[in-house]
Amino acid sequence: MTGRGRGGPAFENPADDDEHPHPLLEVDDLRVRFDDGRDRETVRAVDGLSLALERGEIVGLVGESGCGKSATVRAVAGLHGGDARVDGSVRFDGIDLREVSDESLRRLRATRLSTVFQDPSATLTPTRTVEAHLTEALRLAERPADRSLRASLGFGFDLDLDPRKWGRRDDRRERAADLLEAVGLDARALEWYPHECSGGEAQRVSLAVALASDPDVLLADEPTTALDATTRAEILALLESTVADREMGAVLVSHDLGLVADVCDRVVVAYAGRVMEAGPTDRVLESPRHPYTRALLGCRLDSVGPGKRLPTIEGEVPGPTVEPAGCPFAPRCPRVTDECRNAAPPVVAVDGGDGGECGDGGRVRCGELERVAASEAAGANAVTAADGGALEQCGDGTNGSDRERKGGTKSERQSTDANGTRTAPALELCGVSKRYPLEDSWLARATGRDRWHEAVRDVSLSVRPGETLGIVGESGAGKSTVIDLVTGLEEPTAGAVRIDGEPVGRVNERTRDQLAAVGRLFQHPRSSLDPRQPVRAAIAEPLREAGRDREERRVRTEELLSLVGLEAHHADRRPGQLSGGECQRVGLARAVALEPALVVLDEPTSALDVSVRARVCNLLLELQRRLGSAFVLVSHDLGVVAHLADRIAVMRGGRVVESGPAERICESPTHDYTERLLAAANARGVGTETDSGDRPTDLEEGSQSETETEREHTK
Amino acid sequence: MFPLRRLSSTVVVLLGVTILTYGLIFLTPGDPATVVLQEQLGHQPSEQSVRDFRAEQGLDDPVPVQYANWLADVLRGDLGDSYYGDGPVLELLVDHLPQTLALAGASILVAICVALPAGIASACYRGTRIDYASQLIALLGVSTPNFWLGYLLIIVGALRLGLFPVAGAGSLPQLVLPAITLGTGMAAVLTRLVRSSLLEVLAEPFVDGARARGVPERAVVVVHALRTALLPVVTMIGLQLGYVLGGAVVVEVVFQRPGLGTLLVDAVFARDYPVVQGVTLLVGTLFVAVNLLTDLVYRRLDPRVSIGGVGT
Amino acid sequence: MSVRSTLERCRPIVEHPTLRTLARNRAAVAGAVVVAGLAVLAAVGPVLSPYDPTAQDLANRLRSPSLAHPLGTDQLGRDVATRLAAGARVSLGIALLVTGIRLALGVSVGLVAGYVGGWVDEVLMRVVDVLLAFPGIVLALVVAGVAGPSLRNLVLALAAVGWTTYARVVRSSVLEVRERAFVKASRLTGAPRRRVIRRHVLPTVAGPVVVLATLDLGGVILATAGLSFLGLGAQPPAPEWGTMLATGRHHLRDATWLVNAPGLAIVCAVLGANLLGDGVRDALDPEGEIERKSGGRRR
Repeated sequence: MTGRGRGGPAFENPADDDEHPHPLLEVDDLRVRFDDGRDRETVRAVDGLSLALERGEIVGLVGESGCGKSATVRAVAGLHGGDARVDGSVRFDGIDLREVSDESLRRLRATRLSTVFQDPSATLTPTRTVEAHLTEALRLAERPADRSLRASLGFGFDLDLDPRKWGRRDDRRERAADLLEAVGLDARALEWYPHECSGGEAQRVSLAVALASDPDVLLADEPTTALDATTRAEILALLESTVADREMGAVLVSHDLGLVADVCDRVVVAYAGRVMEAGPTDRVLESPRHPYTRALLGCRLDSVGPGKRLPTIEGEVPGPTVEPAGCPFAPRCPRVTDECRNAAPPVVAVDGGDGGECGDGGRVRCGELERVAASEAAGANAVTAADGGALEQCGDGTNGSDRERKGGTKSERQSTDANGTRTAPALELCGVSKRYPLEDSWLARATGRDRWHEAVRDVSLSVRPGETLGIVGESGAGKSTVIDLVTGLEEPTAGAVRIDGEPVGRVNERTRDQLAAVGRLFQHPRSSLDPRQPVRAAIAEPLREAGRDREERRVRTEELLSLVGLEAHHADRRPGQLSGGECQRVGLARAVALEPALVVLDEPTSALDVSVRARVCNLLLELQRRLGSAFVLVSHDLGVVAHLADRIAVMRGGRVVESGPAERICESPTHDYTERLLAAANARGVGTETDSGDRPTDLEEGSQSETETEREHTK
Repeated sequence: MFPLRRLSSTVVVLLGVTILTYGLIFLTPGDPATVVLQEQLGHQPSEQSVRDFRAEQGLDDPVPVQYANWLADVLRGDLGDSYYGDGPVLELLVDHLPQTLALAGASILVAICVALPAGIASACYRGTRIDYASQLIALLGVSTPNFWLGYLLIIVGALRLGLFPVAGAGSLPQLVLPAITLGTGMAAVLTRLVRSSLLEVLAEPFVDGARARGVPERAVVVVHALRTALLPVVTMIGLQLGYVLGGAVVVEVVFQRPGLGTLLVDAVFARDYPVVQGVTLLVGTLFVAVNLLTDLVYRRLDPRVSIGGVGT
Repeated sequence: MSVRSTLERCRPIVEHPTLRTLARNRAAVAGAVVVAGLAVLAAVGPVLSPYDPTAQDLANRLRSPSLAHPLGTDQLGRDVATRLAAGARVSLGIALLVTGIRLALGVSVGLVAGYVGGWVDEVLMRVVDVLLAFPGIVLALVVAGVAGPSLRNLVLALAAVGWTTYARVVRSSVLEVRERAFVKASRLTGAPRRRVIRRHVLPTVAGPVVVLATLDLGGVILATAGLSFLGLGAQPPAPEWGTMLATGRHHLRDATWLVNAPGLAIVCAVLGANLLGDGVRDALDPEGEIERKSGGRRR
């Protein structure tokens, strides 16, 4: 089969009309547009996307943020708002959903098509219990005949006045409990309200509600993005087994290729609202054809060894209001030609990688495949060799020696370690604890009802100059509190913090030199910048407080901008005009403005897309090489930590449960919690997850565990 | 641990209310005893009579002692006597309170009956003529002084059409015009609140979550969105009681109803301090009590805060 | 200096995104026009009018509206239109004054409570709670009444009971901003508290305060008129809308214009102020944060 021009049904179901007359779900040339109210421009959220889904199959829809994944899900489920214009066809079991009435669509959602969203607790109604959600879903899924009168009246109240139906209500409660059991929760959860569930529990509840109607198709929109590594693995396993057991089909939307690789049978890679490549998971991951797929795979942390530069994709996803003349990826593509800039690239069929039946390896929308294939044949490693041009790959020559050097210093340091420490550690925590009162009021104190939240318990750590210490743990483990203690925003309840051998106190007790010795990168890059302050002023603030005069500030600000890879013109922008990655760079420039001996990085890569994350990782390596500072890197993402850190400390419940050299921790963990973290992050999904949902801040971490204890009290 | 903490802060606020109420006297220009006696006698009082009055009222004690004595009396239910021989203040309050409560209740009823449908319709048909009309009327309602609205209603409803009595209190028809007058402003505020609250909730992801589960649109609004959207409205209705009590002062004057408002205004102009203090204390206490009640109701309705307010 | 360079200088102000959003909001523009119109009327009306707002002309008592007296005359033969224009001075002037005092007092208290914290915060907030335990108009009535009916006492009474909302909003904004990462980041540079407040906290709090003040304006006009109506503000010969309405109510049967003219004037002023206030809120606070922080209290 050869490619067709743009606009034609390009990515239709591979097995057309042989055994299966039609696939379970078939999306063909879907386009979703809406008008941007302010600028009167057309936003092309989805621009000709196609995919097909069979029973018992999980199809992954992958792409960076802004690629139209969520808009696709909403359009398929008929949940796009009234101002969105949808074209193309969505066929569900042969019925074109674009043709049916709103009411039939609603009934379809109630009975055969379920959706699970990214933020589970936000998609459950806060004023209704889990049981109310489940029984409602069960009731809506019952045959329409049962409730024809109510349905025709248009009421959906949970009021059954007919005594003959009361028995059915008990029955529903029982079935609700069964559903919870099926997703690994016990019947106690029936009484919970959504806010009482942890992230993982809420996602299980959502899944249970989605399964209540025993649907044929499940659409899962980033279902694990907001979850911790271990919970993520559990939810994915649950999803996989459910699809297999119930003979349904599922579409798993994610920005994470690794995660999709673990559970999906086929993968669809989308970019700028279009499909770039589609095919069986193994084929796409092992021999990706499209330059974009290759680049995405290259950005993954396990594509190179720890401490090495990652290949990156330059540039940004094009704005949804621009209509590209040719291939939307062209501006970022390493092997772009004039042809693909100006004309829509053809769709090419790919042979099955391992000679599978039908010879079907999926399809790729790219005109340069011959060249890709040729270079693939020439080069040994598909990823390394294929990436010249804009993909900054340092696989050869000059940069290689850097890597060697870095490796060298690492072993040197280890030998120093063996001989005993020579210099004072850049940072030392001795038996540090921190607890917060749960209820801070005079009444609580007077009545002696004070309860405490132990955020950090007896933590001892040390970081040598020039070394990177990674601290990993799930949310609530006390990582953020450790950072606050190091930077002086909090004071330890017990123990001491020493920087360069000197004990330090709270930030306002520190001397100018002590302040200059520590730089901090905050977790959410954008919120750590004053929205009213231009970049120039933000970067100059620490310099100003350190007493530098105007001229020194100007010169240093320019140096810093180029150091973190920003242009001079960025200096006059405000944070609102910068992308997430650019805000991160400004934050970094601020953190290293005074050339601190110690830089503390709080989740530096969360909330970033894979490609941006790769660039930030490279920047961090580069900065450390130039400045020689010690880094403390805090993250829930074991992959990033393993990639960047020399030593790793694993935290749980406020304690350090294990610490040691990075290789040792990753290869032979001694603590079973570390093992679980590793297992969850491992397989092919290692560290490829980034969080686009907001991670809880340290404050929320506290309250989350409080809610847990509160529940114990109230139940 | 909500109730205990909330109750303790309520006690503190009530104590503050009594201090403020008592302290009001000291705002009066000149010596209160002289001022009061002058009002009572109609001429400059003799020094002896001022001294007697001061001794009798305990005005020579240090201020904290005066306050403590007064507070002790208040706690025993003794609010003093009117300076003008209208009897004990407590009896006056008991006589006048029902009229005001009837007016307040009726106007809240009017307000809710108007505001709920108007606000819901406005939110559900956002951007249509229904929405614009209801918003415009609400805006007019917020901007219209209720004393003028009262006279307008008297001119039209009583004088021109003769449907209702002009003024007075006691019978149901006499309550209609005042209740509409007072209810209008409140209805306007509530309509805007219901609309904005519902719009906000309708934009939340759980509403789409419900649609994604195939819940019929009407049930999405009524069962899922409205309950959450009405939570701030409950608080607002509680807070509006303050507005109603304040507005009642003016409306009672307009319709010449013998309620707390007319009692207060007359007492203020006559410098009948015990009565002023009594009404102020009663209004403050009522308002604090209603706020406490509103909070309790809110906590019952919103599962998110019922757990001791943690985790918000 | 040429006109052009002056224009160039004004440009950053005129093209400020907030003002542009505001200019797109037709209702807000209408409100601004009404308020500006009343201000012009207040300024030039009494000067242009052939009548004296307080001079009595008993021969022309209770004349219904005519060409000579477009809004009729009152029970003492004074021209109602002239008195309305003169009354606009009082009403708008008092509204601005009261709002200004409330703003200054409330912002100071809120900043201190929010940033100092501890027992200072505790005490200040209990004071706020106590003041909020009364319906504002009742407390203002009692305060102004006990202190003696006069315009000065009216202003003080209204200011004394109304600053609490500002204090609450500013305090909670400060508490929130204080926890924001960019303020923490600023603290980590060693910047002293005062500088952190000036550089990061005050600019952030300014928006909400402006919104509150414009929203408050209409309420203050209403309250002023209400208290004057009860006899507590401007005293009878003075031309004030509430006072005019109070004296006009004795002629409900024969001279409805005496009640309706000041009534409509009040509605216009309050409507204009509210439209403007809503517009400013929509431009500066599209999420409705401020109303949430003030506890949903608008009167």
